[in-house]
Amino acid sequence: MAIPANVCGFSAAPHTPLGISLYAPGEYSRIFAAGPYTSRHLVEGLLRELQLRSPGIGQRKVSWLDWQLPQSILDSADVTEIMYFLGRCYSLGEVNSCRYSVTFDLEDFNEVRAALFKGLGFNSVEIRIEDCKTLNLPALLRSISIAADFHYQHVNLTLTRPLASLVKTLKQLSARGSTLPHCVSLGRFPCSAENSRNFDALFTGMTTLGYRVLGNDCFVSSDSALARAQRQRQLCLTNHGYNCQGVTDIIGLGPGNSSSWGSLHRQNPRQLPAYLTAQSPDRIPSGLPAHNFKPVLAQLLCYHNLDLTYFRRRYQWNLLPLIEQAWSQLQPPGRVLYSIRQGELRLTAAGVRSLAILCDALIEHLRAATGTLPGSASVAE
Amino acid sequence: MSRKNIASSNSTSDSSGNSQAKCHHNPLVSCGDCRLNAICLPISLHVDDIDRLDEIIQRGRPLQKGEYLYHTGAPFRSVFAIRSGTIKAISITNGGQEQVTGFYLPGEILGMDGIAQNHHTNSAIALETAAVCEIPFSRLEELSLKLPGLQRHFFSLMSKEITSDQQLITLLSKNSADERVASLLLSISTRNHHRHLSATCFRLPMSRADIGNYLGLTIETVSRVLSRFQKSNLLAVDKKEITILDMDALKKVAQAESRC
Repeated sequence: MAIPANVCGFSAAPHTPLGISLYAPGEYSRIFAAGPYTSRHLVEGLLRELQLRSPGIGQRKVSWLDWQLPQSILDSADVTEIMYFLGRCYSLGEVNSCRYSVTFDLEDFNEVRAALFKGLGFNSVEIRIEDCKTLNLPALLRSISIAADFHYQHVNLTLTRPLASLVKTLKQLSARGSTLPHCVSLGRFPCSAENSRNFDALFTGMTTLGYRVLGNDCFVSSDSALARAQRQRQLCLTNHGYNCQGVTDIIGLGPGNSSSWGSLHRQNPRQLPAYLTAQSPDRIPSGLPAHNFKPVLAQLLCYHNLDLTYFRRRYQWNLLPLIEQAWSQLQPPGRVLYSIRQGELRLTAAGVRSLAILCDALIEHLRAATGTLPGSASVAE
Repeated sequence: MSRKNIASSNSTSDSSGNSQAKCHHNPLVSCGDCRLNAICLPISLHVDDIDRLDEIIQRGRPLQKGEYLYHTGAPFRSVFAIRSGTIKAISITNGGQEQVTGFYLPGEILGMDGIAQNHHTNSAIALETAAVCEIPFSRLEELSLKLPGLQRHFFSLMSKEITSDQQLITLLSKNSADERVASLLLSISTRNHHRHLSATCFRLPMSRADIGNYLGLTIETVSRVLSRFQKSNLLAVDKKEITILDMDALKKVAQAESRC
């Protein structure tokens, strides 16, 4: 499916870097085991989709690639085949300047797979830790060691919920002379008292260990490329996370994956039969005018501040009254979440920790204000 | 099984890089009759489809020792299956020195280094008289669309090549001389076993110099390691003839994980 060039926000500039995400839901292992669909259906669906979506954009350099296809359902030949055709349809870049990341569950990461993906051009490993109370330290040590043996530039962790034991585990890793993960990110986790407590402890612990925070759920080591990009105000934020490759357009391949394309957000069907017959991804319901106010949210999440003067000059948006309305009720007594000085709003440490709540509240007020702020009306898609 | 003469077409390069006209295709040699078809590309095919693969294969005159199959930088047009003999792949370092990057035995495919950039990034040289089957890649792709098993097998071969290249890099960066030499010997042993040859008695087709170059060791170190293995009764060594006396012990030395 070639995105029509007349859609607002679409950028086909050949110099603009492109991101590609490959994803399939983890439950597909059970689905394939039960039949009648097999992993071959998924591979052929992916190949069909990547060829369908390449016309007109295949020449853009792919600076960001994220492989999140479940490792257990694809063998080495499948992986090689997908990457082969990806390389034929898209312009895969020089590895050193790009971020090509592959995700493994802790128990799936081994030398053979590490070697294969390294040889296919990947330079970053993401170890995903599913629901568990404590981290398996020996397994984590082994994974980091394997990644180092194969000269991966980055080893990152993704947690599905905050683990209070993570900080202790990282200290143990450090004590054993192991490299610490460059980035630790949290998925969206259910609201609960336990998760809240664990999150507070995790947040404090990670900042004590010297990690910087992007948003409030992505901890990066202070010498990492993402931390440097944050200091230099060169971060980009997409619905697939933060990057320092300048990528804002991401093609999401695979069932259930999402694409962001200028002001467009699209999602593929999650169920395999629907995915295999889909001609194009579905539009993501635009209940929120995020694409209109994306620069506001992006600046807040990336840098924990808002240049109010800039938004007034650039977009004629007077954000201060909206922010005060949105956040005034959220400041607990004696706790300051933000300060405003000389046209710039800065979040305090408490404000960064409460960023999720602040953003949700701000989005609600921005949605209500749509139409009243100049240029903020919803874009017809 | 039909047998066809294939008119001379794309030819293999000689050591000066010039193309030569090939001999006519030997009508007695075809994929269906080849003793290596159980490990080469035909393994993935139904017996009725082997002819279709055979039609695209080009078989030229044997390469003599030291003769180039292809040079670095040559446009990528074909991959090659080795029918007999041994071929080494080399690249030239920034300092202008030759670096051995792989050894290819009968039944194995080489030339895949050219796929990514459309030109070969290595050169390939015969270590002894070698016969190869040239498979034009564009025709292989066309045929693969019609024979999914062939495509899948080819990607399987590609993935193994990619994996073993990276494992070698790791081996060279962190393993001892003993581990490296043991890994290479085990690799040759395993590959011989796949060809239904002896896994314990074989001839090393490459020189000590090439082994050292490949493993990042000096010739002297290679010789010392082999002598040490011989004294420890892991091997018997008679010039290029190797007899593995204690396979388990050799695997233990190599940590039995990597393939050179």
